[in-house]
Amino acid sequence: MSDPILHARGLTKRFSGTTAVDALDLAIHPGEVYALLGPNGAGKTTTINLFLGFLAPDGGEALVDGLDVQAEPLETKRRLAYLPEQVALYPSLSGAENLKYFAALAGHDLTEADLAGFLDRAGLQREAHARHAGTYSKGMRQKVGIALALAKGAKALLLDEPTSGLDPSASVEFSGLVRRLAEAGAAVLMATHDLFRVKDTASRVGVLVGGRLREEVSHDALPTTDLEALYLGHVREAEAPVLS
Amino acid sequence: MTGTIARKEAAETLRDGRFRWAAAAVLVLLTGALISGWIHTDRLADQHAEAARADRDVWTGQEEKNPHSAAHFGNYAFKPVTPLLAVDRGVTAYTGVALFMEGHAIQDARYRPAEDASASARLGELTAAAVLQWLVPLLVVLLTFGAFAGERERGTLRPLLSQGVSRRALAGGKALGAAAPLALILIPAAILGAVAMALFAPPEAAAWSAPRVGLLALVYLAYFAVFVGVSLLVSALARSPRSALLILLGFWFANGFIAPRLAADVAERVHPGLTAEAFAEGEAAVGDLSWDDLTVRVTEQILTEEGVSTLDSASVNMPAVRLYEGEKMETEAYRALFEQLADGFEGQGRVAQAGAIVAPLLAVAPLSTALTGTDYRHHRHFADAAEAYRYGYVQALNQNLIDNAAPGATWDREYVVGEEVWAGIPAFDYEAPSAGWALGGHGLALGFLGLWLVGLAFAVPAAVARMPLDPR
Repeated sequence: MSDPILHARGLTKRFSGTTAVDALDLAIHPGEVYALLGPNGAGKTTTINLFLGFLAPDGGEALVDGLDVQAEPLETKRRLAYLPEQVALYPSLSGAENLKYFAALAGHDLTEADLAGFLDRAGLQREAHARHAGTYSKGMRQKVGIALALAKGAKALLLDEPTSGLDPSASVEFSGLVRRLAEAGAAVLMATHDLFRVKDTASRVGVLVGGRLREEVSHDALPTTDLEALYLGHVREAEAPVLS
Repeated sequence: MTGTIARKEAAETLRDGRFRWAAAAVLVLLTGALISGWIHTDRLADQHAEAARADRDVWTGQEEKNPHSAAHFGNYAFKPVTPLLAVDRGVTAYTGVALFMEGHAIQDARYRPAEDASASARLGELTAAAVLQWLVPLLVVLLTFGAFAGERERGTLRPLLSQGVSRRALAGGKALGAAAPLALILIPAAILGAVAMALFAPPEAAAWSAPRVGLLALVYLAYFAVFVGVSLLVSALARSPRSALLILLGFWFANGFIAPRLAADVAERVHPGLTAEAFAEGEAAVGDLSWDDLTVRVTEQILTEEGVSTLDSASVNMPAVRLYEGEKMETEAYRALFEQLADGFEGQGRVAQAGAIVAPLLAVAPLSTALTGTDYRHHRHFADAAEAYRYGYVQALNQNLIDNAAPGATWDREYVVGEEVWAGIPAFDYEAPSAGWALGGHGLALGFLGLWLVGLAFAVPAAVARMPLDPR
């Protein structure tokens, strides 16, 4: 098997005495869509922030394509594409201009043809390419984010609640785009609590509760696993002492 | 990377209709102030040149008279009008435009433009310096308050930094991105000023002004850089764009309107200087100097030096020698009094400049008036030169009297001179000081301006490195 693109080894992060991520071990390989399932406050976004280098770990390490995020913060970011829950764009720039700008920051100078090609591949309608991004829907902004991942040739995608707030058809379209990126060789880490989309998109699932990875479901086991029961079981187990 | 960020920032700014309107207003005000300043300066220069010519004609055309009477007849020194008065009028409205030079007295400059100014002019004239010191910083604030706080609130800060942009490059790009739209306002105004000076200013005035213009541009660039730095710092640390804007508007107002008044009050308390009453008392004391004592001293001196027993036997005219010595005595007393007055003003200026540690305008304003030659120090340089000229020509006339008046103890009313002597007294020819001299007296202001720049060069990257990525 190829080396993991996203690799966490004993990754730990604490905030004011609370452990947000607790000795997380995770390895996501090229072509994999890893869904990190968990309730609010489980440590999903913190994990993504640790891979982005926006937070420094209190223990362990986060590696991107074999590089330590803390030691090589800029280089690791250039190998990543990051889509937050709300993809934010500059409203006075068009979708194409936003793409050109973000790609240029990542070291890619795109021509007009490149821009149109990436936006087309991401599924953004042609008429929207030159329109101010301030007029875009959430789904359209996400497509610009996907186009950026394509333009960067990102080896890994970090998706933070990407389908939250999307209508079903936009959600399906988005899942298709993510799968295609994975098929092209990207490693995808998708933090979510959208069980339906996980079944549709993920090739592997981890259940993160209270900062700890409680269980992993392999690709082979996924079709036969009742994810909802598994997820709720871990959540209730974690909450039990509090509830009693 | 920095260039990419700067280009995008500039493009966004230029698309903003609010910026376009504000920039157009500032450009119109700046060019308008420069044009009106130039017209004012040009007219003033013509008036001074004409008045200086007329006064010289009056001097050389005066009738035959005793040389000491000619010293009392007096003449004027007109303060030169430099092209840079079009940029900053400094204290010129309050220091007078001409000095009357005569025997026995050093006079303060006369004809202060402020005395003739209309009520509206007293409230404040719109000069290029006012636009550069108050309006351009306001534009900088409006351009940059959302540099980081806006990105944070909009949610673009995370995706921006997730592309592999260093925070230092981001800060640099934001700073350059603010500079580019400003350049679109300042460069046309600077070109307009340079063309006007090259076309219309006398060559020697243009040559004198050139290095000063260069230094003035650097001072104002440093000032705008300070405002850009402060804005970026506040934007990085503020909770929201709104709070960044409020803080920066507060800083702008305090810097431009509160600090100068406060600094002047503090300076007056710390360094009280000479009051008008004390100066008048000083002048009266000079008038009270004893000429009787001087008569005794001069008489004794002549009798001793010549070895004679009466002044009628001496080879010189005692009243003439007494006039020469009296001029020396009064001049020393007057110079000490004016020195005390000037030291007071300059001391207050230094105290006020110390306020630049919290308000950069208190460094920039004195540097601007220094480089345009419109500060009190330049006025003093001119007044000192005029005084040296006055003393020289009055004593030359007194010496003429000593050399030619009939010897003895009485005033020689018969001795008169005419045109040849008047023409032999050269016209007052003032050489304005160099740019280096102008800056020489403002080490404190330069130091504080430099301190702001260096401090911000460290503080902004440090704040950007630690700024939160999400709204608080």
